[in-house]
Amino acid sequence: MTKKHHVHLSDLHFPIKVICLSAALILSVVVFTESAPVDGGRLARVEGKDASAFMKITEAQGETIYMSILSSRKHRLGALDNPTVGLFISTDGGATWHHRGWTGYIRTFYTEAGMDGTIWSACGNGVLRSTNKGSSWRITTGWEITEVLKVKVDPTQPAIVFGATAYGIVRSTDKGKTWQVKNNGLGSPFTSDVLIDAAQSARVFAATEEGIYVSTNRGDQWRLAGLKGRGIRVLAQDRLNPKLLYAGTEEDGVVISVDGGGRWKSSVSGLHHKTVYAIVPDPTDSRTIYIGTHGGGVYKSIDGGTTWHQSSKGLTNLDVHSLGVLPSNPSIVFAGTLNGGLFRSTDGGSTWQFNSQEEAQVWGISIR
Amino acid sequence: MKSVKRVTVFLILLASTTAAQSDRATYLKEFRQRVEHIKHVYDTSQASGFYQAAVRYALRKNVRQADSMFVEALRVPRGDMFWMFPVIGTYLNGREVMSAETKAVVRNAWKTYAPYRGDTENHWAMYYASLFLAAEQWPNLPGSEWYNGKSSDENREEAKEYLFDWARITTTIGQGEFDSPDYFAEYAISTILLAQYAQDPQVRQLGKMLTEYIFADFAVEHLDGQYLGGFSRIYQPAVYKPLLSTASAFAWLYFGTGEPTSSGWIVLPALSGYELPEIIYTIAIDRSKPYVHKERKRVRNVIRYGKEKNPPVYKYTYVTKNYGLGSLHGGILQPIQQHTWGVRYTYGRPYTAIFGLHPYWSGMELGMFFPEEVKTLIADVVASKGTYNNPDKWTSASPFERTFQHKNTLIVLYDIAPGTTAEHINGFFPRNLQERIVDESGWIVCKAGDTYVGWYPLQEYEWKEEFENPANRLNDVGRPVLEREKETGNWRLRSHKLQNGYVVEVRSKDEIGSFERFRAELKKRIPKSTLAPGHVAVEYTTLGGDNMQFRFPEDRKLNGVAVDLSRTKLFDGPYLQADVGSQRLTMTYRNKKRVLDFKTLTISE
Repeated sequence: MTKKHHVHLSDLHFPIKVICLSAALILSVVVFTESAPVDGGRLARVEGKDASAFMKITEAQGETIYMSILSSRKHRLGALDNPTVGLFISTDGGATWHHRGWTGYIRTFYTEAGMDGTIWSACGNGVLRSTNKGSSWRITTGWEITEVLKVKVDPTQPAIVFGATAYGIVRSTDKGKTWQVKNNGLGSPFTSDVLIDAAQSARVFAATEEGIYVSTNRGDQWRLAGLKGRGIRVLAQDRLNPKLLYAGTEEDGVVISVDGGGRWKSSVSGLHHKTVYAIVPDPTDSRTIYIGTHGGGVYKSIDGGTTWHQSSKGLTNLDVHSLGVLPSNPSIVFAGTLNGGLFRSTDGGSTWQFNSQEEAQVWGISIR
Repeated sequence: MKSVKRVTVFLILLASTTAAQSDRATYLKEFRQRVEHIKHVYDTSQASGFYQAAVRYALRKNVRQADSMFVEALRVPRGDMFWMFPVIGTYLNGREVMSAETKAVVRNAWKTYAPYRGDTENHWAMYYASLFLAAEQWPNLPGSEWYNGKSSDENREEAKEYLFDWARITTTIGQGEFDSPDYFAEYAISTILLAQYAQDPQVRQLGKMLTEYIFADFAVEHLDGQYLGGFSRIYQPAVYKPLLSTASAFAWLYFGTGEPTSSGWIVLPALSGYELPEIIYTIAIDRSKPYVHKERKRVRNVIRYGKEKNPPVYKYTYVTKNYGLGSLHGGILQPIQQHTWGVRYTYGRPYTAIFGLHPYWSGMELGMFFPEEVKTLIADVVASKGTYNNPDKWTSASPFERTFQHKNTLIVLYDIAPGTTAEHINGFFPRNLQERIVDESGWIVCKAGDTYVGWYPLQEYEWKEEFENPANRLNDVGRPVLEREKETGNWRLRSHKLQNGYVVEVRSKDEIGSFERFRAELKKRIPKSTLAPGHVAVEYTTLGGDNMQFRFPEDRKLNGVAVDLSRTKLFDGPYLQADVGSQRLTMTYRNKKRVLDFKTLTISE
């Protein structure tokens, strides 16, 4: 039965307007739709741009892109033809996307894979885990853990997983068999992101509503590391120089630490949009960094964050919530927007083309 | 002499017992007639759906047709927890007669359709009650046979844990999504299904006790099919047409009040065989004496921008046979759909309400309760709930609004920051009032049958006649389309002053006599107010002679004595008593008493 008029977050994607994406629509071609049962009858849908237009380089490199679709403005309450949301995977640089797992709205915020291939999804329903490339899933958390915004896997010990939730930080050390709440020392439990230090994984950073917190014992105890009282949205680490850390804030632009989180310095020169939802350093060049902002689209720095330049040409939605750079070809960059779908650049962010998921909220992108 | 007394006492007791039994018998007879009405409507309905199938199963009539209906309804699952309870409810009504093929389709649905668990209390109640019952129906299955990868045992235990924890917090610090006329159904269905169908005796008992708990909570604030008082959540137009709320369908079925309905929300309860204990429906319908009832609830989970996860909510309701005046203490207690105060009365269906509010919206308010990005939350909400950022909306929480109620007198104050959305307050006056007089004293004096309402605005204001939007259609910027109807429109009082407020007096003919006398008495009582930024205060002596002093936001004095809201019990009135933290509710009606003890999971009388 359909409950008329009742508002809950699952209703939030009722359309109010149709965003004109005619140019993008011309480019966007549904390659095919497959109704093959996957994992007990779940459907897998494959869609994307003309595959021949894309390089297969990522497939050759074994790179997989995980795109988490939170919701879509095309959704109609109770409609039979609502767009599929949740996790989409591409292994060919965004040429095609394959849906994996649950097709309905369970608030899939973010997904990433561990070094052992296990896929983890941060969802409204909890932390989901798949050990067979997304064919079947298990909710690893119980009723206590809800509204999980990020899930991060220890880069060297894949059984250790952190979840950033609206109610604080949770950790599993047994690959999701059990979870523990880890809020000791946090000023505010609401945590948007967690960053596990790639150089020493016992060090973990947390993006909270009241600043950046750090733990040196895998979350057992937290202490303030910087930006006291400021809302932090996202954390990132340079792949080549792990001492280079970045944080995106609700109101204060970007802050950068060059000493592994000891001191944080504001970096806003040229940045006209100070709400930063996404940060991704070029994995091959520490001087190049992309950020996703509210209202300003993508900004890029080519001088290690000293100055920023808006780099949003072609973006028809300027609320960028997720970013990804292909390690194998860093000129290919993905930008996930809130209600505008996924965009792709093949020239390092100079220009953008619509890629997939019209009017979708692309909440998270990760690449392994 | 003694023996005569004993005989007399015995005869009185016998007579009263017999009368009570007769009343109960009459109630049950009429209740069962209402149940039969519901069954008949759905049994003869040409439509196809879960409830049509459930009724046919329950009646053991046209079972094969029911099978077809059930399978068709399951063909494309959608609706998440709103799908789960009709599916398990229909299954439980038909499991003994449905075909093996239909059973297989139902089973497969629980394997392949992955419902969203939701983000609020009613979602979780429906989700876990349904999941518990489903896990009991299909025990000993591995995780691969369930949508969430968990085994039957794991699902059953998780659901049971949640349900007991929900009961614990509700009976300790109060319900979070409390007293919602539109969400009462979601709780009632969930708990009735548990009470009637759970195999686990503990969960069955918990379901029974929770059902009584939420029905008692409703009964004590019920009048003529309407929920009274302040509400955590309500929709337009039910906020001004109270009988449209789903709670009113339950009032008709279980209290015999309001208007006959064939609402789908009461089908599964009607089929379940659940019968309400006598004490609850007598509390619901006996309005022979006016009473004050106070409650303490909790704010929905605050996830940021607040120091406390579940701050307290203080409620005050005054109930008579003609009207009920009720209020929450004010502030942001629930996002989007809060109804802070209102008077509802028995005259003039369907427009039986007068109320006021500050229409407020902000990303910060939404961010307190939803984890999505604060700067885009308004757009997300408006996409589905077009009234949220509408300055004309009729439901809203506001950080700039506070109330102070004593019996049938209410003071509401506002100290609105400049630049706030919106920079005005609204009052709702229905079209069908018999009188709506603006007296030269400043009082607005209204007559609705035997109920009189006086409203003294503290600042200048304007009237706006407006027309309903019957289809709740939205325009392309997400605002309701207002359509002119043939009838006269309702009246909106709007005041643009940021430091603002009003005094509301409600009386019935029984209490004060004629309408003219009510008006004359009000004229003698002009509130004294101070209305400056940061200093909004009023002093007023009620028609009952009590002196109320109220300074925004939380300084309340009654007859010179400070009012300490923090001492408010979970339930405090002549019919219901519960202390904070007690996990124990005592219902009292005349010489009857019924105690729900959630610590021991027992009911005693």
